[in-house]
Amino acid sequence: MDSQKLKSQILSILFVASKPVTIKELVGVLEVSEEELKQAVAELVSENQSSGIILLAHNNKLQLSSNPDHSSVVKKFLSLELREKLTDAALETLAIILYKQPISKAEIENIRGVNSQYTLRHLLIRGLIEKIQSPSDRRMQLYKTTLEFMQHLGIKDMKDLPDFEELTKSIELPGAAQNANGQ
Amino acid sequence: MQIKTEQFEGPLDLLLQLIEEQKLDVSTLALAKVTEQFLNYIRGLQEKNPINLADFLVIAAKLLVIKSKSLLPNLDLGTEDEEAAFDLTAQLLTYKKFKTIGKFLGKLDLKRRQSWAHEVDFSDRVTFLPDPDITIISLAASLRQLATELKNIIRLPQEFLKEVVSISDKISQIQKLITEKIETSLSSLIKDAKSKTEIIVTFLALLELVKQRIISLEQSEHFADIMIKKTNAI
Repeated sequence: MDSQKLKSQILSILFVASKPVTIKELVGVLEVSEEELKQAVAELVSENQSSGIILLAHNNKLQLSSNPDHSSVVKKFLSLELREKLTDAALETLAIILYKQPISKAEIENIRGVNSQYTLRHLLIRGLIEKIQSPSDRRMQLYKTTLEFMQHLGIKDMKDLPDFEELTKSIELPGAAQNANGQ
Repeated sequence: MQIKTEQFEGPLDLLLQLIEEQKLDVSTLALAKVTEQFLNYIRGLQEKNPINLADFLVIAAKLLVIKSKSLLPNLDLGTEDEEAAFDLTAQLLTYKKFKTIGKFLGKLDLKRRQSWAHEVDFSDRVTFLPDPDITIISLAASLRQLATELKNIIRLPQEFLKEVVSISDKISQIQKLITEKIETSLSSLIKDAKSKTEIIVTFLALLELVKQRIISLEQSEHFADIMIKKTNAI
């Protein structure tokens, strides 16, 4: 299919969909291959970066969203109140899920060294993370960040997020550079 | 040295602060040094906020293993326990990395660059989708059938009304009778009743008259005829 037309059709479907649409659903409706669709999605994401409406793509889910660059005017228009700031515990947990997803509760608690039940529930209720069944063990649930997480923090493209190594390369424990690396 | 009574996100957070405040190298020696302070904090936690106490105890146990080892180098605790304890440095570093990323996300959060989705829900819109088998003939037939059924429903109460004898009619009838006869009996009242409904209505009328103390009832024994008398005027 002509790629211009495909992109146009994707936008129309996403406009009428009120919830995130999966790549799989779109492949079924548009009768194209998954690679073709993903290519079109990638182009749409980059082409619309400065448009009023941007395309959010994450975890094989797609959703149209207002451009976070305009958040202040949109907020003014909607007369929204100030929202609640995320707590340090919530941010810490989000950071782990963001760079380790999909990740289990046990792994999160191992990194944080503290029970994270309450924080995870709080993040789930706020829609910033979601639970999925582990593909290897159906009894285990794994956590992922959502499209709403992108919307909440105004992330236009997951590629814009700094690389984990880049973000943490200068971090070391006092005087223990070799020590930690040696482990 | 006193530990500030601020809240820590967890035992690793506390340990990290202890080491960084004292500018100690993270060596087994440094970890052994802060053990005492860590244990002091736990003692306070026991009273203030015991919820995450278990998590603090896990790290405390590791610290004690490290301290024991630094005091008694020959002590053999088994490789597994020792490895778990000495992993603490790596665990602290990993934790510190994510804590930093958490701060980075916090900065994003503070920018309030929220974006919003389009929230119109088209799935709620009511659409009429007729069955493809519908024809004018089948529609007309359904309509005729509906009309017949409606006719039955409308006719039903009319038949019912014919049988009804109203309680107030019966009441005046009994009152009239009782002024003429002074005394009568239930059997004579229902002798001419045309239907079960009329008997029931007669009985209800009697009950109402008794309640209003216009008549009084008397029954000499079980299943005997009930005698109806006018209540004596006071």
